[in-house]
Amino acid sequence: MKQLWRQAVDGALSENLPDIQAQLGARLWRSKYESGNASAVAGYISELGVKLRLNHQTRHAIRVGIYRSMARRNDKAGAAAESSESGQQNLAAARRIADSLVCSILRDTVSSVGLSFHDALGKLLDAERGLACQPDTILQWINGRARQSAETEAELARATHLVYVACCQVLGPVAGDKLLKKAADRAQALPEAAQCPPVRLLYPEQR
Amino acid sequence: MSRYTIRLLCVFLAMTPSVQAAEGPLTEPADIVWVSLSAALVFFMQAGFALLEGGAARAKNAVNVIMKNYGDLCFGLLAFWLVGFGLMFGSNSSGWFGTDHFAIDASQGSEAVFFIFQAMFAATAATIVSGAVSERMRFGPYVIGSIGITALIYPVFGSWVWGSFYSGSGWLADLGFIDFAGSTVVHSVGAWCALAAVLVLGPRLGRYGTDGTTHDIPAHNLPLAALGVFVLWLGWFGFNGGSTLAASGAVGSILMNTNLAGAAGAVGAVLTLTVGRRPLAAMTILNGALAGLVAITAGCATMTAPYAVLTGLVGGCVMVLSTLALNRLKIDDVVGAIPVHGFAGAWGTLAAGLFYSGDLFNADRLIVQLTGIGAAFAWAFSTSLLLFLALRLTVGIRADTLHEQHGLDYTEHADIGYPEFQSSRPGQL
Repeated sequence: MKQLWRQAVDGALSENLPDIQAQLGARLWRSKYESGNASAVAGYISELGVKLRLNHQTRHAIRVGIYRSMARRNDKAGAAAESSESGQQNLAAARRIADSLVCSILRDTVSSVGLSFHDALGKLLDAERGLACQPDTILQWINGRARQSAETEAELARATHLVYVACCQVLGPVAGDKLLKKAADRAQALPEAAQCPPVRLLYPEQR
Repeated sequence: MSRYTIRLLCVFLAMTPSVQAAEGPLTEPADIVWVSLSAALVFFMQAGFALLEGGAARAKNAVNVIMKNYGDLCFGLLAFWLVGFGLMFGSNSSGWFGTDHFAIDASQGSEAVFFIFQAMFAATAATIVSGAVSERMRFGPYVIGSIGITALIYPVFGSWVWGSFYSGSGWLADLGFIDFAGSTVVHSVGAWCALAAVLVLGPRLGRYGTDGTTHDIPAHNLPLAALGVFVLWLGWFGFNGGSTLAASGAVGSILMNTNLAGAAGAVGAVLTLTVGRRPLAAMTILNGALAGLVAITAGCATMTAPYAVLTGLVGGCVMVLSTLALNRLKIDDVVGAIPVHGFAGAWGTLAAGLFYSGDLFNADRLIVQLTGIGAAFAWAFSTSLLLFLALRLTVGIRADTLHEQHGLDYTEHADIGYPEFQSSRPGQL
C-alpha cells in the first residue's frame, strides 16, 4: 500500500511541479508522511504549499491528482480481486464437473476391466508433459484418494481427456464414446454445470 | 538464337502434344463414345468409394472420409494432368517413365478422351488410400499425399506397364507382363500406398487394446456402404470394359468375366467365412465382391469364363484371409482396402498369367507376373513410405487423440454429418 501511495504522490507532483520542486516534494512525503494514510495527504499538501510557496490552485491540483491516482489503482485492484474471486468459483465448479465426469467413466470402466484401466492411465500420465500436476497426484485424485489439485480448467480438460483415452484403450473407442456421453449427461445435471458446463472440459479449444 | 532460347524452345516442344497420337487408338467415333462413357462410369466409382468409406466410418468421421475422396479427385486430377500423364504416357524411350506431354492441351479428340479415361484411373488409385487411413489422418496431409501418388508414384509404375500411347514402351510391358485394366497398376499400387500410410499413421485410438485384444469399431451406416459397393460394381463396367479403348466385340466377354468374378468373389468370401466358422459379416461379404472384381481386372480380356469365376472365387478367399492376417499384425485398415485392392489385386495379376487363354500355367509367364507384382510393391510401398514419413516429420499426418474423440468432421471441417441425430454441439456428444 505504501508503494501505491508513493507512486500516486510522485505522479501528481511530476504533473504539476518542475522537476526540482517535485523531487523536494517527494522527499518530504517519504520522510514525514509516507507511513500515514489518506488523512496524511491534507497535512502534507499544507506543509508542501508553505515550503514551496505554492498557490491555492496548484495545491488543489496536487491533492486531487493524488486522490484520483489512488482511486484508479483501487478500482483496478478491486476488479482484479473480484475477477480472481469469480475465477476461483469457476475453477471450483470445473473441478466438481471434472470429478463427476471422471468418476462416472471410472466406475463403469473399472467395473468392466478392473485394474488394467489404471495401468493404461498411468502410462498415459507418465508420457504427458503438459500437466503441472504430478501423475501420481492425478492418479490419486482419479482413484478418489485425494482432492484433485489442477489449477486451471485446461489441466482439468486434459486430465479428463486422458481418462477417456485410457478408457478407449481398454474397452475400445465405441464403449469409450458411450461412457463419455453418459458421464457428460450426469455432469450436466449437477448445479455446477450452470457455471461450468461439461462441454467446456470436453471441448477445451472452444473456451 | 541464344542457347537459353533454344532450351526454352525445347521445353516448349516437349510439352506440346504430338499429332502422331491421331494414328493410334481412339480414332473411330464409336470408340470415342464408348471410352467417354466408360470414363464417366469410372468417375462414378468415386461416388461408390465415398459411399462405401463414408458408411464404413463412424458417424463423427463420415464427412471427413467423403471429403478425402472428393479432395483426392480434385487435387489428383490436376496433378495427373500437370505431371502424371506425361510421366505415364509421354514418349517412353527408356522404359522407366515418359518425358513429354506434361500439362497436356489435347487438340485431338482421341488424346483428350484417353486423358480423361486415364485420369479417372489415377484418381481411383489415389482414393484407395482414403478408406484405409480414415478416422485418424488429417485432411491437408492426405491431400498432399494423394498429389504425390497421382503425380509421381502411380504414373511412374504405370509407364512401366502401359506407357506406350505415343512412343516407346515400359520395361515390364516388354517382358510380357499382363495387366489389362490395372489389378496391379491401379489397385495394388493404391493398396501398397495405403499400407505405407497406415503403418506410418498407426491404428485408430483404442482399435487394439493394451492387452492385445482387437476392439470392433462398427460401420455407422451399412446400407450406405452396401450401396457404395453396388455403385463400384457398376463402375467396373467402364473400368474393365473401357480399357479395350475400342467399342469392339471383346467388350462383351470382358464384361461377362468381370461380373462372373465379382459374384464369385462374394461367394468365395461367404465360403471362407463359413469354413472358418465366422459370422457372415456384411462388410466382409461386400468386400468379397470387390475382391473378385479387383482380381479379374488384370486378366478379364485374356481368360475364359470358368477361370474368371475361379479367379474371383479365390480373390474373395484371399481377401478374407489377408484381412485376418492384417488384424493379427495390428494393421488398422478401416475398410479393408489393402486386402481387397492389394492382396486380391496381386492374386488376380498372378491368375492372369496362370490362366492365360491358350497358354495355361506357363511358368515363364508366371515369373514375369511375379516380377511385376514385386516391382509394384517395391516401388509403390517404398516411395509412399518415404512420402508419408516426410509428411509426418514436416506437417504431421496424425490427428490428435482429442480430435479423434470429437470426430474429424468437426475438427477438420467444422461440420457434422448428421446434425439431427448428433448433438447440437459438434462432435459425437
